[in-house]
Amino acid sequence: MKTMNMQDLHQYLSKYGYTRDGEIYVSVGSKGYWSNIDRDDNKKLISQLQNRSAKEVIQNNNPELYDVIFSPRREAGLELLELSGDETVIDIGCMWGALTVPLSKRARHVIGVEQTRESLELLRARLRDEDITNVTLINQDAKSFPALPDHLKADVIIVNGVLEWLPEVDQVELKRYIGKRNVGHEENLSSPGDMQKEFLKLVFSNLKVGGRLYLAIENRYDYKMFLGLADPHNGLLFTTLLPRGLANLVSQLRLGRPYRNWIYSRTELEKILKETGFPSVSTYVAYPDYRFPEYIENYEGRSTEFRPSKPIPAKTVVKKIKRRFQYFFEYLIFKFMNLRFFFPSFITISKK
Amino acid sequence: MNKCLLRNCVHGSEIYLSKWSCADEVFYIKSSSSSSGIADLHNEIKGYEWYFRARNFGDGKPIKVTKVRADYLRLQIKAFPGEKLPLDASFITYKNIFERIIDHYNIIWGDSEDRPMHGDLSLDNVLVTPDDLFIIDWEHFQYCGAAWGFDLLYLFFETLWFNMRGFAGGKLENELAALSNLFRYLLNVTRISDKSFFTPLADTIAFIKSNREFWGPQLEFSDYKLPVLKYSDEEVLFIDRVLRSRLIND
Repeated sequence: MKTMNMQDLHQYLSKYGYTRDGEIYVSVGSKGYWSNIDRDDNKKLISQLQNRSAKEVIQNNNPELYDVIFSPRREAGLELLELSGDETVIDIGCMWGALTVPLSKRARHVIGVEQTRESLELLRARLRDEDITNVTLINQDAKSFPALPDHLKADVIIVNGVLEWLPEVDQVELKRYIGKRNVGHEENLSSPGDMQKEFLKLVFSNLKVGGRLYLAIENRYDYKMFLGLADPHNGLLFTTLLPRGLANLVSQLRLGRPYRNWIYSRTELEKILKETGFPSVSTYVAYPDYRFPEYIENYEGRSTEFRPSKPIPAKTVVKKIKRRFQYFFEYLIFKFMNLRFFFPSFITISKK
Repeated sequence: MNKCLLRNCVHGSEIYLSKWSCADEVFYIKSSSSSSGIADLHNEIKGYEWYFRARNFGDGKPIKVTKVRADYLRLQIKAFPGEKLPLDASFITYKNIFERIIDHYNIIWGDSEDRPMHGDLSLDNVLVTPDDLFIIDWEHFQYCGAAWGFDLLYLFFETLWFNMRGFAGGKLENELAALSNLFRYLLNVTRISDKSFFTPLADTIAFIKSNREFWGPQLEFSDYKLPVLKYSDEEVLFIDRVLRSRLIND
C-alpha cells in the first residue's frame, strides 16, 4: 500500500466537514478539553504565543510543565519503532506535541489528533518556532476520529498515555479532577473496557497491513500501588489493584463518580490488543515510567542492564530513609528477582 | 530481537543508547534528534574511524549510520567484547590492567602529531579482555591539541576521585603511592613529558575548564559529567604535592 499523500488527506478532511484554521483542521462539534492547565489560564497562555516562542511562554507561565512538554527524554521510547523516515504516523491525543515533534524528525509525515484546541495552539506555535512543516493537526476527540479510507491509513499510530483517559468525560481540568469529589461524571457511558476496545478497533482499522500501534500506559500492578501510591489518574489508593466493581464502589464513595481510568496488567493488555485484531504484540517494561524512561526492555528480558534510579537527596531523615528503601527494594525485585509483573509502566508495539 | 534502552539523555547529553540483541548478534544503537546530540554522534563516527585506523583494523567498520536526516541521526555500533573495571578500581589491585591501558594508549596515540582527544576516557569506557582492550564511547573526540597523555591522566584522576569517595585515612596514601608507581611506568614507557607531572591534576582540570566547549552543553548541565571537576582546591593541592614528591624522591 502506498504512502499516504498529504494532499489526499487534506482533501478528505475538507470534504468531510473539517474547517481549517491554518495548520489546524477542526472537526464539527469538537469541544473536548483535557489539560493540566485550567481553561482560563490556558486562554492567557495562548494569547502570549503571538509574540513569544512556545518555550518562553511555558517557562514564564507554567515552568513546572517545561520538561513535560519539551524534554528530549520524553521521546526515548520512539527508538523502539526504528522508523525508516518513510512512514506516516498518527499521534492520537498528541496534546502539546511531546512525541509529535520528535516524530516529525523521524517520519515522513505526522498527524497530531487532539481534542483540546488550546493544546494544539501551543503545538502549532512549537511547529512554527522550529520550522517544522511535515505535521498536520486535527482538533478532534480520539473516540470520534473517523475510520479512514485505505489510501489514508497510517503506518504507525501512537497512543501515549491516552487509553486510560478515553472512558472519562470530555471535560477534564486536571487540577480540579484528581482526588476531587463530584467532578467529571456523565450518565449512560459504556463500560470503560468496552469503550477502550472500541477505540482500539478504530485504531486497528486505521492502520495499513503491517502497520504498528505504539501504546504506552501505566501498569495496574505497579509495585508502588501495593505500597500506597495514589493512582495518578484519580488520586485514589489501591483502586487499580481491586476488582473493577469494588474499585467503582470506592470511587463512588470517595469521589462521587464511577471508576473509569482503567489500566491493565501485561496479560490483560495483550489480551485486549489481540481481541482487537493484532496478531502480534511485543510488550516492553519501562522504568521509572513511560513518560521519562531511564530503562526499557522486552518483558521477557532478564534485567541484566537494569539499575534503579539513585536516590535524590532529601532534606528530612524520613524522606531519606524512604528513598533509600525504594532504591534497595527496586534493586531486589527488578534486578535480583526479575519480577517484571511489578514494573511501573508498559509500552506495547502491536503489528497488524 | 531483544531491545533495551540503557541511557536516556544522561548528564545532559541528548543521546539515546540502546542495546539490541538476537541469537548471535549484539549491537548498540545511538541516536539523537537534537543539534548537539547529532554533533556528538558525528564526533563518535570520527573517533571510532580514527581508533580503528590506529589499530590497523583495515576495512572493518565498527560503526554504521542507519538513519541520517538533518534533524535525526541513528548509529549502529558493533558490540566489543570485554568487561569494565569498577569506576573506583584500586590502583593496587588492578595495577596490571592499568599498565595495559597505558600500553594500549601508547600504541594507539603513538607519535600522532594531530593530538586527538577521546574526551571521556574513564573506566566506564574501557573494555578489557584477557588479550585485548577496547576504548568505546567517542562522542567527545576532537583534534584539539590536547597534551599527549591528557586522556590517560584524566582516567587516573577520575578513578582516584571515585576511589576517594569510599576511602578514609591511610588507604588514600596507599592508592596515591600505587598511582605514583603507575605514573613512573607512564614516564618510562611513553613519550609523555615529565613536565606533565609538576601539577598533573591541576593541569588536567585547567585544560578542561579552558576548553569547556569541547564537551558542549553536557558540562553546563552538570560537572558530574567529568567528576575531576569536583575535586576541592585543597584536594588538588594535596594530590599534586604528594604525587610530585613521590616521583622526585623515589
